[in-house]
Amino acid sequence: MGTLKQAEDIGRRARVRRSAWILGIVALSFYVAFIVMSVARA
Amino acid sequence: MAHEHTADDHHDHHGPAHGWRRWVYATNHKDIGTMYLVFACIMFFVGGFMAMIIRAELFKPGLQLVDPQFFNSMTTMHALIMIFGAVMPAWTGLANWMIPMQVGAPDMALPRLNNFSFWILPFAFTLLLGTLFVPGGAPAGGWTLYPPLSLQGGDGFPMAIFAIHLMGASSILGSINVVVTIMNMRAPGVGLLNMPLFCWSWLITAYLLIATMPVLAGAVTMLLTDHFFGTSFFSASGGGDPVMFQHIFWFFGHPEVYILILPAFGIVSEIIPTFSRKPLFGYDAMVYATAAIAFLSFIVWAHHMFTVGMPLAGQLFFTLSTMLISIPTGVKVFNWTATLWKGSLTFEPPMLFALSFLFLFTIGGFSGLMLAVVPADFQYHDTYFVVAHFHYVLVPGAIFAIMAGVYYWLPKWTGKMYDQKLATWHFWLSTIFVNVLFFPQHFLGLAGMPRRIPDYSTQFTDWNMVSSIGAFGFGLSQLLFPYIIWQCVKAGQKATQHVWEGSHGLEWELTSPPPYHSWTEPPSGEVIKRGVQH
Repeated sequence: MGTLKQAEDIGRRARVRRSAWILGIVALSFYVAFIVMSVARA
Repeated sequence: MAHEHTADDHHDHHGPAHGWRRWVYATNHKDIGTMYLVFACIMFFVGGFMAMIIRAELFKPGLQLVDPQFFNSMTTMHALIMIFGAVMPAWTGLANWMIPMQVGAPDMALPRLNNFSFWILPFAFTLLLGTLFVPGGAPAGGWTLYPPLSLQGGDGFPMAIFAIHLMGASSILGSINVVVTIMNMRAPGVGLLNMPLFCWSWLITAYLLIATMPVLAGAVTMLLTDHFFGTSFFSASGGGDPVMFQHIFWFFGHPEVYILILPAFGIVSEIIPTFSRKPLFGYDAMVYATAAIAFLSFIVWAHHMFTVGMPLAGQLFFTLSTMLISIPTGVKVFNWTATLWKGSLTFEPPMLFALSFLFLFTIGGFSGLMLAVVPADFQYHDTYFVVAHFHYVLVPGAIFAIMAGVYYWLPKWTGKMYDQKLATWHFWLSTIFVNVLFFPQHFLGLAGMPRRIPDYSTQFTDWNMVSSIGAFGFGLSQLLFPYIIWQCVKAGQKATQHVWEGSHGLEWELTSPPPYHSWTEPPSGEVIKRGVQH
């Protein structure tokens, strides 16, 4: 049925979600890391 | 593999919802892009009004219109609103509109997240603007929020911190969507090294945002705990270090400068080839230069802090790393100029704004190089020279590029052509007044006028008057912008599919206006061949 259906292909959906989660976790870990580093320094 | 049937399966058969539901529940990239752009335009005028208050107060020496505390609130709020409310949402709006169309996708990869990213913003800015009405007033310590000054704020302090957290969350979620869309939703035949440079510049910007917005969030969280929970991250009396805040802030702040300008590079790289009727000179070099600028933006932050004091080795490192940025930036300016060389140039409004960007952004770049030199920076620091520098980068840089982008794609979005004569007037008035506004600030800074003051010595009067006249002229001429758009939407002449003679790219292969879902069928091999640039 075309790209829309292709975009909803299970494999691509899993990839999209996985990438989004990884990026979200990276962002969150930066947040925590900078606070932890500041705690260590202070 | 079996297709997983979901509630979204019928999406290619319906148009937009009607009434308020279309916007509140929007998951369509075009609707969300429009909301971002309208929001950015409103914030541009709110922040611009604050700039008018600042320039009116500075029209002559002495205190005449507002008290100093309110003046400081205006400079702080003007910056926060223009950066986080106007420029960044405008880029996200353009990304929402254009990325799916340019990569051959039906929509952004995560439409509901897209809705959430946008709808965070009105709450964040209601909260931020609400600080103007609480005891103690709006934040007045500058957008950099340096402690201990920022910690002395009134009830507006926690509100501003929460607003910054919300803006950060919105930006991070929007960026995740951009990365995931570009990496997963490109149509077959649209490769990474042949997608439009606007997509490339946004991809790199999105990575910068994901890496740096959490750093800002961490810094303001620590400010909050210092203020309310007795911690001493930035308080010397408790064993903390206020300079550490500056390091953390500028580790975010300098990449933020590139977050504001990289998408502008992408847009200019789309417009100049179109109106030169030539392919972009050095596409690969442009991509690598953008990536190089992004990398270097992480290792230059302390050039904002030379006067704080740092070891000689630190001064040398940050001076040299800052100067290195001029190499990939020079590559870009060279490539744009080479694209213009022997092109069949025409000067429609998008091209005029792009050319103005090219000249005036470069002035801002050069004054940046001057500021990178430590002994010179000791003189220029915290003067109007710095104000002139970053406004040259941000106004005829980022904002002119946004306007160029809107004038470039507006006929595609609406299916109607705007009044090009009026838009050309908008261009000339903006370009003349932006120089009247900001160029004299170089002289004021070199003569020693400090920034962020509501009053000044009388020897600075003349150039301040000139600058203020430029500001009022620039502010008034911006009213043309929404008027031209409104007129276009209401009564514009029908636009053709390709709109511009030299336009080239997948978005121009769609009708004007494009269908509600951009590419419900993947672009065919022939369309890809015609539309993909390289």
